[in-house]
Amino acid sequence: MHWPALLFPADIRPDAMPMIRRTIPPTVIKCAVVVTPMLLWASPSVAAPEATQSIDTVWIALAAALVFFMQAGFALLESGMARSKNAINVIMKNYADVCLGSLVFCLVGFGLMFGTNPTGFWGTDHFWLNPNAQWDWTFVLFQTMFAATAATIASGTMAERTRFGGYLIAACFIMGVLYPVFGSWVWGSAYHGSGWLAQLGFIDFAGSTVVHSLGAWVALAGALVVGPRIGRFDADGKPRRIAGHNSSYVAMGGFILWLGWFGFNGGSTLAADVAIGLINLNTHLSACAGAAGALLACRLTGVKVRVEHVVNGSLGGLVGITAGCATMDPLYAIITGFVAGIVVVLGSRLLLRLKVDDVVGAIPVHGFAGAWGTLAAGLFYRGDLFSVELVVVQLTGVLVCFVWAFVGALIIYGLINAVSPLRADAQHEQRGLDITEHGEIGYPEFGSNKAYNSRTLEVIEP
Amino acid sequence: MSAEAEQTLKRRIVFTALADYLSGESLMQALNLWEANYAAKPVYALNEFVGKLGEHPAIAGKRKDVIRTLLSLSQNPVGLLPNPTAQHTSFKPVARPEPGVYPERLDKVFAHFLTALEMVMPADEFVTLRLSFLLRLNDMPLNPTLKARLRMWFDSEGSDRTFSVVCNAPEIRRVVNQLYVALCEQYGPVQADDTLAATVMWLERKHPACVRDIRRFL
Repeated sequence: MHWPALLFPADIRPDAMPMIRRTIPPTVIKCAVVVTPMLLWASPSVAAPEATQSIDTVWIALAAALVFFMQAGFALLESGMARSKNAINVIMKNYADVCLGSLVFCLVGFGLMFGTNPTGFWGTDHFWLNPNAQWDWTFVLFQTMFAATAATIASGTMAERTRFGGYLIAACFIMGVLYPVFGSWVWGSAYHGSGWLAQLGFIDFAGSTVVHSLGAWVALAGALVVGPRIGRFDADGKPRRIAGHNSSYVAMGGFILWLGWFGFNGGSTLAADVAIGLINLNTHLSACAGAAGALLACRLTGVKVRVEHVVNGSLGGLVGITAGCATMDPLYAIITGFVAGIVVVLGSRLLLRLKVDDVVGAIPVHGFAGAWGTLAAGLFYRGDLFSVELVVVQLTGVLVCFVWAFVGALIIYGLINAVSPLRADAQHEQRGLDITEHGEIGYPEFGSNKAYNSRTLEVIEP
Repeated sequence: MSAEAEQTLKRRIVFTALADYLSGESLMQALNLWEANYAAKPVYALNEFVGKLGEHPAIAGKRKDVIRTLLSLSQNPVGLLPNPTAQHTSFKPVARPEPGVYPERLDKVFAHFLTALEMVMPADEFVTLRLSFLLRLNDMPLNPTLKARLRMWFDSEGSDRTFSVVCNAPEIRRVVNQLYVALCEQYGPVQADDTLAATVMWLERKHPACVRDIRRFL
């Protein structure tokens, strides 16, 4: 296999990736460090000794659990940012897309993403949970949690006006086709062959682009198909604030996501290794810097600092560092996170100007900050700082992801919308999707002074 | 208060309470039944009276609500309809209706809803809402009579307004939803939710007997 020269920076230190050094020849290490070290590790041909593999398995299973716990973070964050009449619907979408999407990814998506990839465009085997080695089960587990994260990002953006059924069908297509096909271009070298973006030298260690930006571009397509909530913008196009029902949930969701990210990035080594310390330090520092960047951006733009700004700023920092957390020094991680925090605040304003209604700010957090973080991973690449060539490759990956995910999602949502409207009708928006989709009320013992309360349920008609 | 004035007040209370459920001939027959058998009896006899009315489809299942309204108006006789003396004659037995013969009469309840909406909104905002709703009315899939009544109501001012038309819950629900959408577009969804909630609360206080029907509109 031919590797471009930029994949071999002269001063890659062997101790930067000790877990790879343990078992993989130096030439492979250089490729692996740049592209996706974890995937080569997954190959049975480079399997570690049994004892090491057991420890690795324990760490990755734990990391998978941490990534799974991020779903709770998403659920709390998104639910808190929605109005109380839609709280259950948001939670249900998060819960159900993980359940259905995980099945679809395990059975179909995993093979498309990680199966033997002779063309560089998609995997051709390992469908229907068909592993070669014991380690593969761990790999499937961890990657399934990643896929679930990509799918759930859209739920927050499209909250409060999207039908439950249509959303779930789309989530299955995203986890079954959109995400794994793009993933195969970047990470598709687990068994044989390699993705075409990986061959260009695209760096995305844990998925700033593959997971987060992809999810955000899908969300953008969804937001355009369903349109803004009724009354979100006034007749002059100015946005009206629709406050979420529980800022404490938002903050708690932010903390849980932050915790889960240590598994998301730290687990992406696919090995229990000393490199995890640096990776997770970078992760933490970037999140802190993201919050600081958001605070500054709020101050400079004269916006009062709300919980959602700080939480989204830190999440922007986390998304931003995800691509380069293994190949960047901590000071650059701070810069990456700080800029990501600013990008999140300014990106939210841009979307409002474009009249895109993103309920939780997922597009700036996962999309804009993810794109920035992917560029930063090239810009601040340890041993080859500010390499134009590398940045060009990164930019190519970012743009390709946007086109693939956005256009693909537009087609998926458009087709679903043509069969059965994806947008909930005005009556459902009035009642709240908790009642119309689930026949429940989020807080039945409270809110007796609301138009819709538990007494309404006794007589409500479809 | 003289005995005659007291009797008139009682009659108005019964008439007002029942008008939320019955109209026309049915209402007159119910009032005659009360006049003939219960007018001279103490308040607790209303329980039996309402029990007899329970056979009527419009009252069936709402016995508690009717009694609650009657008692509430007895304690606080505010907002009573005029004395119906001239309209009713001697007692005629209530004919047992064929099931399904009675069309739903939700117009009075909806009229209360519109009044409540006007009460809870600032006057200038309500005027804007009326205009906005009138603009939407043409495109709404409603029966022409209802549409005409709605246009008349939203086009006129204060005491001139009456709303009397046979209409069912799905139709009224569409109207309420369009009012909600108009509110959202004028003032945003947060204020629209608040206004809707305030309207329902106002109705629950002033017309407790209508609560069940009001919730069918939502």
